[in-house]
This record gives sequence, C-alpha cells and structure tokens, in this order.
Amino acid sequence: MNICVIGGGAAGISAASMAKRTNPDATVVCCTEYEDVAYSPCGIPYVLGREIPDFERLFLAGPENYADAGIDLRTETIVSAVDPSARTMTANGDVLPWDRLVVCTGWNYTLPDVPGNDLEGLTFVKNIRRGMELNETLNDVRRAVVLEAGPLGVEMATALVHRGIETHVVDENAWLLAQVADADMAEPVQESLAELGCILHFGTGLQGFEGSGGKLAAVATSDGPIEADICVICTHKEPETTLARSMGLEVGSTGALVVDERMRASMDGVYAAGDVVEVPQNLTGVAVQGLTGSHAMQQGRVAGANAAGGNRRYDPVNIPWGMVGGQVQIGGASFGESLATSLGIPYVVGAANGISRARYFPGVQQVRVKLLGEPGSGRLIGGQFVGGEGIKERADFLAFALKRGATFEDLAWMENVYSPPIGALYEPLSVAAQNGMAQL
Amino acid sequence: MSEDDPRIPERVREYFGHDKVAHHGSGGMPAAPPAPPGSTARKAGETALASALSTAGKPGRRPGDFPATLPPKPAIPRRMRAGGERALMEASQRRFGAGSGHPAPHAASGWFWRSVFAPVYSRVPWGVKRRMVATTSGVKRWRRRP
Repeated sequence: MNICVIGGGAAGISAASMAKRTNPDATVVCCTEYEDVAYSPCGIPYVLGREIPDFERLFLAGPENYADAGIDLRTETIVSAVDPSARTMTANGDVLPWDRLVVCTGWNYTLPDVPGNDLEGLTFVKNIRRGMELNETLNDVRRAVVLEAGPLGVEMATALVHRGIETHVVDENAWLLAQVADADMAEPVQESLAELGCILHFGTGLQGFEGSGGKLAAVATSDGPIEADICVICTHKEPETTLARSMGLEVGSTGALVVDERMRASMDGVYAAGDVVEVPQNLTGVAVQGLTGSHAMQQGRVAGANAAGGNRRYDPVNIPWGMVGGQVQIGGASFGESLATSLGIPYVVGAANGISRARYFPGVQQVRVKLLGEPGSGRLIGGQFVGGEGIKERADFLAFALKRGATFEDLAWMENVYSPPIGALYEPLSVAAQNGMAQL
Repeated sequence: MSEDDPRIPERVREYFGHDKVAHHGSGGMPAAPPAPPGSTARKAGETALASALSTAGKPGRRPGDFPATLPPKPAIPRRMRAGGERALMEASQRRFGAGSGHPAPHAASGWFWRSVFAPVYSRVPWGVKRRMVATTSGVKRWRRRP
C-alpha cells in the first residue's frame, strides 16, 4: 500500500509516523515544502523573547530519524498537483502513486486586505528558519506593532517587550483574547502586559500600512498612525486549501476541509488533518477550525492510522486552551460568558477566587475561576481560569469534564489534592461549582 | 520574574527564576539543555541555524517567508457565518465591556449584520437558534461517543 502525506507539520508528521506504525509494510512518503521538520514552532516566540537561549533546543529529531523509521521524508518538496482519478501526485516533478492520501497542508495567516500589505517589515512567526532570521534583525528594531491580540499576538507582544522593543498591540476587539476570553478574565493579562511596557490599542481598526522605499514606516489605524519598524501579523489561521480545492474536496462553513470522525475527506481514499480541516465543537456541533498543535497532532494520528487500515475515531472538541501573557497565566475550555452570549446560549455562572497552594506556602498564587453551566441541569458548558500557576491543568481537567457531561454538582463534590506546596484545601474549581449550584 | 528582583523577600528567593523565564513563582527544573552533540536533533538545529544566519538580512525569496494569503472568495455559507459571527461578537463585547472600562469594539461587521441580523437573532429562542446554527454551521457525518 502506498500512503502519501502532504505536509510536514504536527498533523503531517504524526500521520506519517502513525501510518507506518499501523502498517509497517506500507510505503509512506511525506512531503513538505519547508526545510525542517520535527521542531516546536510554538517555542519560537520564547526564543525571540530571550526566555529560551537558542533555537537549536526546539528541534526534537532530524530527518534521519524518519528514514530509520522507514518513512520517505522529502523536505523542500512542493506537491504541485494531485490526480484523484489516477491516484497520483506530482512532487518536485516526480509522479508518485498513492492508495491513500493524507492532506495536512496547514494554514496561512489571513493577509489584511488593506493598502501597503506587501511592504517589507510585515513580519510573520511560523517557520523556524525565518524565525531565526527575524531574531537577527530584531536587534535593529525600535518600534513594533503586533496586529491582533490572539494567543500568538499576546505571546509575541510579551516577547518583544522582553527584547526592549517599544511594542504596540492593535486589535479591533474590546479586549485581549476576546475570541475566547471574557473581559474580566483577560484584565489581569492586560495589566501585566501594560506593566511590562506594552501599549494596548483595543477597539482599534487597521486601515493600512504606510511606508517609504518599500519599507514599513507606520501602521495606520482608526486611532491614527503608529510608527513602526515591523508589524507582526498574528491574524486568523486561514486553512491552506489550494491543492484540496483543485482536487474537488468539499469545503465547509469555516473555509476548511470537511472530514468525518475518522478524518476521511469527501473523496474515497483521501484523509485530512490539522489546521486544514474543520471539526465539531462538542456541545453545539458547530464546525471549528484553526485549533492548537495538540489538536493537529491527534488528528494526524487518527488520519494516519485509518489511512493505513486502522479504525480510529476523533472526538468532537472542547478546545482546552491556555497561555502566558505578560506574567499571568490564562486558560479555559469551551464557552465563556462573552462567546455564549454572542451565540445566545443560556447559562448561569459560578465563580470563585482561590489560591494555588496553601496560603502560608511561598510562591502561593491567586487563581480566579469562572464556570458556566446550563440553567436547570447545571451541566457544564465551559469555563475560564486566570492566575499565577496551575491554569493549564485546570483547563485540561475542565475539557475532560465537559467531554463526560459533568455538572456543577459533580465538581462541587469532587475530590481534590490538598498538599500545601501544590494545592490548597479548597480547590477553586470546586468552590466555583458550589457557587454555580447556588445560581441554578 | 528574575531571582534578582528586589521585590522578592530573601527567604523565598530560591523559588524564583530557576529557568529564567517570565512564568514566575513556581520554580521548577532548569530548562532542558540542547540535544547532545552528534544527535540528529542537534545536527538538524545547527544546520538550520547556520543556513538561516547565512541568509538573514539578505534579499531573495525563501520557503515560508510570506505565509499570508487573502482568503479565497468565500462561498455564501462562509460569508454568512463570518458576517453573523462578527456582529454577534461585537454586540456581546459592547455589553460586557461597557461596565468595565473597555472600549467599544471596532465596528467591522457591516450595517446589515450589526443593525438587522444581531438584534433579530437576540430575540430568537435558543432552541430555534440551536437548530439554525447546526443547519448553517454544523458538521455532518459525526456521531457522539455513547
């Protein structure tokens, strides 16, 4: 069996590895247009911010590891055409046969459709070698604008102020991480970024990029121009579907490829995974796209296994998320108040302020929890956390609780670890659930 | 926070700055060192860095140097979803931001979505909305795990 994988990111590499593991007799070819695989792109902002000393640490393996595993990994290889009827694809001029094809072509940033969007100085964080080049040029940058305060925008703003660069964040939303976080939960992150010296411009629209001699000089906004040497574009992840569309694969309401729970695309023998596909949100069934690297990896594993003859399923997602902005951690899963309100989903709130360790233990941090549940049943529909530590673990736990249909009552009576250095007697999550029960 | 920060009391200084990251407070192990010399990961990293340093600041196109694209002309379902979502988010942000000192969101949705769709949608019962959303933006061919 010939299995071809297009794409060498988290989904593509996982798909190729899992396909080979599932069917060791299969010939597995994985093509990527880039020079490198098996590194952590999510670590790039932290090297740029000089929190991690060098880029080499982000590499997990070399191409040789894949050859040893029996995978024909082809870097700097562009798949220019796929012929679904002949079941072949053209990669750097070679025509390769496939019995199963896995499309993991990933995403691109949405390019702002404004004047000046081709100026030198528009900067992107995605590919590690381009990140290394950016790292060199940042030494000469005095002023930077970060466009959009999503997760990457917040990480890049933190990184740039760490570098001592005057950093402005421009976002048309009313607060930071507004696509997922509530105003009150985002507030500590905004305060922390402002304390570090970041200048925040919310409710501000982008009007264009101004420059001279082909180089960026300022970012034009609805609040006036902001002088800048670079503008880091952190816009929405637009699924890269050019090749898939040319094959005739079905595209859904997000612009990403339609797949089923076995990651099968709309054509026999073709699978897809990662940022190029849309999957259902668990509670509403609404298609969502552009999730995290961990989602891409798991989807790739399912697609690779099934392409090789396995029978795995991918579950609808609750999208646990978390990050550090400034010096504060923030995270959550599924719906917050703002998102639930925008969709018109009825909810009640259970909130609590707690602590991460025993109150007398050094390093104790505040943890604020907000849970949302269905009126009446108290079934959880989402939640958010903000504080100094322990946010990621709570977001993961909440996502699992959502997957299992847990209620306020379940969490109110949950067991929890009490150990002074790592956990307080009263778990903030449980206290928030108790408060939520009182609202039912 | 650095362990040298003067705000940190001496008795707890050891809990800060172990790995020199901004994520203060929890101590932790030092960050992992680079992969051992001669390992494939180390070689991949060094090769990539040498290549990047040789091209940094020089003109010429390279893979992934402009990973941005104007979205393809969207089909009607995507246009409707994007317009509706943006207007509903703006309405929600105006409601929650007003009391807490946040600015109003920049009005990027069009007049129809902001002035007609969002107010009408807000009056529709959730049961009806749920079916509308599932029909227009829901996925097909998926089933819940029992």
